[in-house]
Amino acid sequence: MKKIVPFFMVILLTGCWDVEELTEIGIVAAMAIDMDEESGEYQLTSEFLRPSAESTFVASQDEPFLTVSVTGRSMSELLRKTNLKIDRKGFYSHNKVVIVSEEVAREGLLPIFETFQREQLVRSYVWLGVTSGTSAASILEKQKNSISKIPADFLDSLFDNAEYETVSFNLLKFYKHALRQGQNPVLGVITFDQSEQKAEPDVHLSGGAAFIKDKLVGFMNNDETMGYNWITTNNRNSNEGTMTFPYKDDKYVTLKLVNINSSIKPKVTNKTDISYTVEIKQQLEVTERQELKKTETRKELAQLVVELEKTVKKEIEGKVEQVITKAQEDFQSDIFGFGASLRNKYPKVWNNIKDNWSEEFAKVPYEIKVEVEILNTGLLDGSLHPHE
Amino acid sequence: MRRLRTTRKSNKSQQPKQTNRMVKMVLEDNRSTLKSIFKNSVDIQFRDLQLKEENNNRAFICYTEGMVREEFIHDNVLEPLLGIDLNKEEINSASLISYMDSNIIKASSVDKTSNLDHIIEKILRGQTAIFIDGFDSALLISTESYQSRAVEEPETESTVRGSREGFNEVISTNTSLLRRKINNPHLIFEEFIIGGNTKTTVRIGYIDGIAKQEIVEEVRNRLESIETDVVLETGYLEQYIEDHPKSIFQTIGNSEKPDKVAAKLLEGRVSILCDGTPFVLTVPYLFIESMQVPEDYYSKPYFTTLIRLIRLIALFLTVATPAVFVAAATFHHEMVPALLLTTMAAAEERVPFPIMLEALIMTVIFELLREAGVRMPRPIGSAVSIVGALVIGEAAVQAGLVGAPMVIVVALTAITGFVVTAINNTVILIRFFLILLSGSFGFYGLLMGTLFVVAHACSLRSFGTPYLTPFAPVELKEWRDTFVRLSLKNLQRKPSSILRKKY
Repeated sequence: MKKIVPFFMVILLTGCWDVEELTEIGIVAAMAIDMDEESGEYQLTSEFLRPSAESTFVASQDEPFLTVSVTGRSMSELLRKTNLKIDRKGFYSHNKVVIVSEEVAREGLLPIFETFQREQLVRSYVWLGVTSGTSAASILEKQKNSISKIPADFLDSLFDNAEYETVSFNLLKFYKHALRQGQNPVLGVITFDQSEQKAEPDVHLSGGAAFIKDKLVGFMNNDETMGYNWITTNNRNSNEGTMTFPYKDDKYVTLKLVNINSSIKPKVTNKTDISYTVEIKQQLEVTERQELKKTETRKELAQLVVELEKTVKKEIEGKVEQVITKAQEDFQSDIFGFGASLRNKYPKVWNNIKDNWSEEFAKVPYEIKVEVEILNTGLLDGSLHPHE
Repeated sequence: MRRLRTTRKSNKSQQPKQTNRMVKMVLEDNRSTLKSIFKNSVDIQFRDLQLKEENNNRAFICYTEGMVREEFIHDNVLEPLLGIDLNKEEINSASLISYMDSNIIKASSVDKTSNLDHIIEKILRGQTAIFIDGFDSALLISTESYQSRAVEEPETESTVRGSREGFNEVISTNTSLLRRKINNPHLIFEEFIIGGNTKTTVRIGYIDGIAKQEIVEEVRNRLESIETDVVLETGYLEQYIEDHPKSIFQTIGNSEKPDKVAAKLLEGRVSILCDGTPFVLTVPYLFIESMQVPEDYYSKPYFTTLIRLIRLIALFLTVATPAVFVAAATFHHEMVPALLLTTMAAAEERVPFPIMLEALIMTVIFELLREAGVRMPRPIGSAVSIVGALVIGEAAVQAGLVGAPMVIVVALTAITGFVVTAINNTVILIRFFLILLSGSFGFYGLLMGTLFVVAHACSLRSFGTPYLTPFAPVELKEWRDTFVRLSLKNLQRKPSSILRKKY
């Protein structure tokens, strides 16, 4: 008896209740949340994978995914309704991307993400993106320029490969910034990019969407997003991107961004006068120089490097200033974490002004210090040029 | 087999009480006694002789057909006995038998005895008995010779490098094989006769001074306390003397290779040889020994270390792969990479069974094929494997019985299982156990099952040595010859775990 009781406890108190065969689950790869214009309800579009189309054995001719749209007032209601509309039970752990439309983002995102955390449905590593000028659901359609058959994989790669012109925020990072005092999140923006040559528009990840807490307040263009990335060193990729500058006679020089270091240093004088210094250290490498000319002397080469460094410095300063101005004047949203750095260094000062920080932020003075260093010019001392 | 075992007790009571029957003075008495004991069995040969001496004594010899060298009897027993005129010699009838013993019979070993039961036993073992009228004792001449297999390469443990000889079914050959490897007077063999009906010769071997006396003593005691009528193979002995007969782990090792057994003897282990089988037991037997092969010591240590690690990985794979797959595919989808999950789901799309059932079906089919391959006569064996490959690899998937990933899992399980053949039986049992657990409780069940098995293995002992030495208890010094193998210079030392006095 002494042995049997614990044995049955083990069996009865644990185990098979949550068994789910692979043929019972519907793997959701992407979700898009829109606002239904007429009813004002949320519309959730889930992208389910259709495994039979991916079978290596007898692949069916169907698309490897299908989308299901439902409308409802809360996220858990939407998830439940989705299950009613499809013959598999939604399985969200492998969800890769959540796209929200601009309208939804302006309403605030935390209420709809709450159930993700409460029920541990969607992982925190899911990418978040905001659409601009289009509905979120339309992003989940198959794109012409996608090699992957599944739109979710395509979007996943977009966020993965994001460079310095845009941001890629995942759910966890969004939470951190939205819930943190003195810093607001910025999400990547997905737009349709209609070019003249193509009938179908390209989906494009560029720029950033600035938030106050979890509510969208405005969009930033590529240059401004670059400035944002310089201040926050936000980009998660080691491939930071390149910068191209005109250099003599319509020829261009391209520099690769290698290491970015930046810091926001608050300074408090007279107990209430807050000012900031944004320090940015950017290291670069010359990756391309179009001018067909050999650098004759070392001195000439050094000259070139100094000139380039000056240009880059000016460029960075300009973009950084542009984005801070926009954040202060247009958004009044501290997307850089100025408040957070103040809180870290001067907690007392922060406690006094934290309640109306957004007004304070809008008028806080700042100074930008940029250091640029060109590490090397590659293996060529000039450019590729034929002998005369 | 089973019939023999179950009737053992009743058999024993039916047997007439063996009093010490003695050889009678009258020749005819002896002859008729023997005939009645052997019930005129046709392979027991009687040959009457008329000796040429003053009393014209009659005599007969008795031997078992096929167990003796008949030419030897003819040349060295019959010829001298019949050819020599005993009258010419200066002997009296009283000393006739001693005279024959010392002067006439040309054999390496001649024994004079009057115990009839002893004589019967020896006749059945291939000796020849000579009874002479008027004497209450008989002569036993060693004329044993029986058919035996040559010393061949063992098929169960093949090596690329190293000795190719294997034990055969004759115990004296086996001891001589060991003696040739260890030319040391301290190598001792002790003999036991076990089995009421089979009277099997069993020998234990150990090196005096290296083997721990307690272990030798323990082996002796356990062998002596065996009460059985039948010993046909060392497997019988193993089950009688092992520490944990109910455990799925075997705590007694067996080998067909003299070099392996010799190495174990030199480490202080005790070997048990049994007549009629090429498998020699060694005790104590530890888990880590099933991960080692003699070849490890014949090649350089680097490769051995690598291959030992691979064997250990193979052990874990063969035990747990199907269970992990089942658990991940039924409970923990979030642990599988998304792309793999999609393809797994795609493969399962047309399969009606739960994954656990699929795993069980496939592992059972594999075990069936394996068993069939082993039992089939060799020419048909290859046909089995071809059919098996088609059935498992192709048809089962096409028919929608199982998904393709399951085939890969079972194939991996099978291949890795062949790496650790030494504990294959145990592995198969644990594998099924874990599949059932992980199919019902997911990784939780898998973890519990693994803990259970490991805890059980920790509790085992083999002749006083903990089974999981040197891992539990931890013997760091012994680890020089576990996952890794250090150079032979560093291994010049007897393992303390076996020689250690007490735990």
